Amino acid sequence: MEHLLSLLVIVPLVGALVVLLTPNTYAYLYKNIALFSTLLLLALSLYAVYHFNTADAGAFIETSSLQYVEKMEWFRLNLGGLGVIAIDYFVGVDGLNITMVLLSAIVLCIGVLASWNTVEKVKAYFGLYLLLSASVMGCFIALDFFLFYLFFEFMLLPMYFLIGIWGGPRKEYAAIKFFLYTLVGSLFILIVMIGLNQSVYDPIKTAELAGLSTEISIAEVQEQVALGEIAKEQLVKTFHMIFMVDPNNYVPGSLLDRANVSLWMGHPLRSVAFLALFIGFAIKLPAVPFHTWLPDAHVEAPTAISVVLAGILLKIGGYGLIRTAYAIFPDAAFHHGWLIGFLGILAILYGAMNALAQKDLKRLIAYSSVSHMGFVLLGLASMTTEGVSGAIYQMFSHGLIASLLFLLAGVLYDRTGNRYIENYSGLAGIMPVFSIFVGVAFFASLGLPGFSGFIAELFVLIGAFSSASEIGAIPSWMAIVGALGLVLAAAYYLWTFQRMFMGAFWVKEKKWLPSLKDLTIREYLMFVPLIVLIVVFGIFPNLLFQLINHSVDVFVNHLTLWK
Amino acid sequence: MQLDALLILAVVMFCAGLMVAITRKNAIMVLIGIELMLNAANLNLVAFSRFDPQALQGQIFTLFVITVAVAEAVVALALAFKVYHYFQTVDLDKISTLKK
Amino acid sequence: MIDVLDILEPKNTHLLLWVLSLLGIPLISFLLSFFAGNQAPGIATLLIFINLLIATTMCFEFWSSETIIKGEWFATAGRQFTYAFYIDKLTLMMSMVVNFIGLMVHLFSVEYMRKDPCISRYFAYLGLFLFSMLLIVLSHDLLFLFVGWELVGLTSYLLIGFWWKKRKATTAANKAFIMNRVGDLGFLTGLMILFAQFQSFDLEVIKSLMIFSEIEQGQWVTSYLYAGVEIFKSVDGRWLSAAGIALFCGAVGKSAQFPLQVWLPDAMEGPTPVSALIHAATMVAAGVYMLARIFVLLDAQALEVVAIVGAVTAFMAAIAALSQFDIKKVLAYSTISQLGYMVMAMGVGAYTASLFHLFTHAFFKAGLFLTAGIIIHQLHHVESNKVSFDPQDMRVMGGLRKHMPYTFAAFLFCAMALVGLPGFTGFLSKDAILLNVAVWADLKGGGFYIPEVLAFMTVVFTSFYTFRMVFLVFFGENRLTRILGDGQITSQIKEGTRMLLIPACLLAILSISWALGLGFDAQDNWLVRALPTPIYLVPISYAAQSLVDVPDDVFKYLHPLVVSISVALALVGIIIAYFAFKPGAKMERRFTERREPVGALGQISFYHWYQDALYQKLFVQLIIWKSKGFDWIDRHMIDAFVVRFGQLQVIIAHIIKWLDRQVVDGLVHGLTLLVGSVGKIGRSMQTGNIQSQVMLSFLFLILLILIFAF
Repeated sequence: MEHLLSLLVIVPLVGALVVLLTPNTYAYLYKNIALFSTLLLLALSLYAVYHFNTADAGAFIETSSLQYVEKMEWFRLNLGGLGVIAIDYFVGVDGLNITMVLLSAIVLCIGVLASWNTVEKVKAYFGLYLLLSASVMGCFIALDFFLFYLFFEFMLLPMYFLIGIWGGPRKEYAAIKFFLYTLVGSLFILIVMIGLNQSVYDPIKTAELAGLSTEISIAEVQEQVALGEIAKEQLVKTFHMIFMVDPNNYVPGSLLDRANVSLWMGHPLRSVAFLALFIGFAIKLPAVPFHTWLPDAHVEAPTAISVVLAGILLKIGGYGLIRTAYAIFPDAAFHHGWLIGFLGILAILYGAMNALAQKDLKRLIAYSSVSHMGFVLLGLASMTTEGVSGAIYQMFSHGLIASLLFLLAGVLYDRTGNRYIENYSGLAGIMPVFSIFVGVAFFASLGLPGFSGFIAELFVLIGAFSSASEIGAIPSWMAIVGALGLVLAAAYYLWTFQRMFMGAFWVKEKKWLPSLKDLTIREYLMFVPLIVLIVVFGIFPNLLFQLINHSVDVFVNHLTLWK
Repeated sequence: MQLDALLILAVVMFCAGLMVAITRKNAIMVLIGIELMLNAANLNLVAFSRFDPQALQGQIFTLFVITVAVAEAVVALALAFKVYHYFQTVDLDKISTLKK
Repeated sequence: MIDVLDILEPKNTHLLLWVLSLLGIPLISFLLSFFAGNQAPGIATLLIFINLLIATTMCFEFWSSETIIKGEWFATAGRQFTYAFYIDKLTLMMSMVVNFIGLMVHLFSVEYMRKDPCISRYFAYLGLFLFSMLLIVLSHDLLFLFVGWELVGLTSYLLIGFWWKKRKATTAANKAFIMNRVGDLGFLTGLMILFAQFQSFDLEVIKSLMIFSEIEQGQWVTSYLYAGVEIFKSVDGRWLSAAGIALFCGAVGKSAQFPLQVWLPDAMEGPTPVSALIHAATMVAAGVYMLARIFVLLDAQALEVVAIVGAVTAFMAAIAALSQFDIKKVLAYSTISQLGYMVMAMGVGAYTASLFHLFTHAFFKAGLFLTAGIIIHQLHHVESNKVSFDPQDMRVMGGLRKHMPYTFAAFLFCAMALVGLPGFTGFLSKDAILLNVAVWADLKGGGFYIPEVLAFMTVVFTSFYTFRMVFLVFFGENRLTRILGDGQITSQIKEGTRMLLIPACLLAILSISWALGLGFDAQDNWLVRALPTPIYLVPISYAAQSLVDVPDDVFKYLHPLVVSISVALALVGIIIAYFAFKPGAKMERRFTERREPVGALGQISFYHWYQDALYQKLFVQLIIWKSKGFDWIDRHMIDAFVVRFGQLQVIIAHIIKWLDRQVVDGLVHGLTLLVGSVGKIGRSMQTGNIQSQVMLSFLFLILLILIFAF
């Protein structure tokens, strides 16, 4: 399995190609092909997790501890006085993205099952779906910033069409809003990426180009560059995230060098760059106040796309923050810790408050997503091991729980075409299993022990609280205020559950009655694995923690060292 | 043979070609004149290539020119054909759409 | 220096099997019952019976061993998380009591819930409840305690809302869960504070490090090793008190203390056996149990808060119980009041007395609820298509002594225990609490006499509302006749079946002090000896003065006084109740006429100090209003900003388009026009003949060559 990670991108791409080449007379094959590709994807990622060496999963700083690495030069541009730009095809996993790869594979599989009954333009749908799968996977495994950005941007294209063609009544509006909003965020990232590229060099390739001895160590190369002994024309500028993390790889006096004291509108450049990256990923996350595209996109998107959007795409925001913004700019992150922690609790409370006022079930879940992703921000802002572990755990756990919630909302929408909470009452009587599943999902989402969300939120909170005495990134009251979100979550979920599922049976339209049947086998196939996973990760947190522990340790050490 | 003689021959050919190209009314004839001019230049190249016997650059270049001239002749004839189709004549005096 | 990892070493795994079976059997009961349909009652009851046997065996086997069982659960980067169970007298007794009352309630429910179509779900929930309750009891790790804590909250939610078609029931369930969550917020804060200081949730770690922590110049300082790395923590000393108070907030939620007690009366919407098990005997006592577990970590300030909250709760709830019509409501308020006693006892440092009362209260209050359950069940049978009334309302009762003599006897025994008449268990434990409060008040002086006064006043009210209940329910004539005008109906009221009576009577017998082998002395019996008060582990300067250090003389001196006052007050309450509600008394006759009591005191009592209404206005309305406001802001400000921003871009684009057409393109047009006109001038010189142009160019070429040549 030499090219395991590349296979993760290639498999869905090939699947998409096969779907495109299959003639329309075999239309029933499309979903099978999609299911087969995503199952293969799941098998591959399980294989990767199984053979993942947990004891040595460092990453963030050293290339050596990355696993399943594939690296080759893609192209090179000579810019004369600005040096040489080298862009690599560089993929690999560490404890952070292996969890995300696993999550994506699971959610993508479930997503295909959720789109099983798509009837319109099936070929295009599954083609685009597989294309989306490929770009999602690519985004999580890419370690070259350029490659990452490429996949990050490419993701928008299938997503735009999937919402815009197969969506609800206001699909065009939602699709264009989603597309433009995210694109604006990407621009911030692009600018910082170029700035970083101009500031960071690849010591290995530079040594090669400058004709230094092959035995020379990286530290010696860095010393030579620092002393200005290597000509500017011979510096090989790189997009490697791993090189960007090491402050010694910055060209002296370059834009984003730590020693550079020049200001932009009164702020140090590194600080500005961090904020730009932060905004870019905060839009994707989404953090309040950049979140308004999310409810619209969710409400209009078809169920499966909502699942992918909430289950995976939001995580790319959090993942990007950890992988780039925090790892590359720990100093600026520490400096802005208060702001980020504040945005975290703002998201938690504001999202929960909004969820309380929603009438549409899907909108409610969308706002609860905003609230839960606030925990990711809070955990990151704490810059402690517990907080960061909790944030990663929360991304994983929310990926599963939010998928489950959107699928459940989809069940109702499939049957009646209406999701308004006030239109239903006492559903527990005629759809008992469905009601039990909804109850389980609600309790999982409100952080009941025994479900994965509890571990995640607990760790975020204790991390956020101990931050004050460990590193001093955020004050302890933020943890206590953030915990208020748990109470509000209980309030909006239980209230909704009471209104929709309890009491005497009643629905607004008589014609819905015949279609209100309990779950089908296909739906069991979607829900049962998710619930089992949520419970398993709630009772045996070690399954996930052992994957991330070492990486988190290295990461937090890096943060504390360079804050 | 003297170089001068070859050069004079080339000049004569060139002038003849020029005269033909300028004075004849028929487009085909003009083409022939141009071919003459080209070959005069080729003659020059061959003549001068005597001075580098090893590389024979002039002669090789001539071969190129001949090849290109063939292609050019094809294009030009095709053009003439198209012009005839369009204007129903190849009389150049009658084709003066440039002045409009 | 202590290395935390040394304490966290796995140990004593052979006992783990016992603990796991104790926890596992209810869990199996939960899973089996869920799918067992009509077989569920039998299966569940059998399993709980086995569990009770295990608990009893463990009690005899490990009575004097204080064992900690520990093992790895999971690890994060650098921190180890373990599960830990503690086997000592307290946990053994608690698991006995929980399983015993659990069994009684199972037995009772077999008959009580027989006709319910969802009976399997009911027994499944009971199994889940016992599992989570035992998790609280056995675990010696705050995180696990919290897990059990939340899970009992869940089962409480599920069981209160068991009849999910009743809107009141589901609302009460939501209220209970959310109120508990508010308390849990405090618990969570306590967890955060302790974890930040000690890097572990394990109680053994926390206790052993707490001994070595100090207060230096107002800073709470702790230093220890973790995996060989020295850790030094120094935070503001107030966090130490805050940790205690925050953890206590959890108990406030779960044990229904002021200001979060309003959920418990509403929780009576659930099935009555559930009220007996969860909302009287076990779950609500979990708060007190948790306080006992963390007792040594509480500092003086936290303990004062605990004592005052307990006293206020006991008093307020006793007042509220005075005027209720619903028999279960009276019992609910009485439970709150008694829990207030226990909490207050913890606060004054009377660890033993508090737990003593917890155990005795569990039996007699469960007994009261079960007998009330029999009454409700039997009255429910009388209901038919023609006749419909609320079988929980005391206005439809009266004279039941003649119809159900065994029930009456059981109820009376439990009631006397609740009132605290000598010879009953309640007398001993209440006496112990009152004595300790008296000593504590003497010790502290000043305003600290107020809790003592409140505690003694509560005694009067307790005996009043208890005997008001007894008189109204069991004496005189049945009021149904009076209300419905149907003389025949009373003859239909029958005594409960054996399945209902046996559990209730067993519990009633256990409220006699000799039945538990307790004798007459509240200061010296096996229960008190088994649970000695531990010493505080918090730094000396923050620690409260322990009642253990008070000389025995003080207790000996105050004891007779306290006993005589409390018995006298109880008798006074009974006498007042007798004169007010004896058959034919004025208040008894007018009882059926009123919808609610009159007068300020009556109103305050009936509406429980208007606390519910206040919360409804202050928090529920405010939060809903606020959430609507946020929704408005989201739609009309944030999202509108985004949309307007987008629209602005389109407008700008149009402006730019105009500019492009008119200005930029205009320039280009102008340029081409210029070039064109110049071209026109040149063109006028052209003949249009190619040949002449070629000739001209040649001529010019020759001219050029001539110029350059010469």
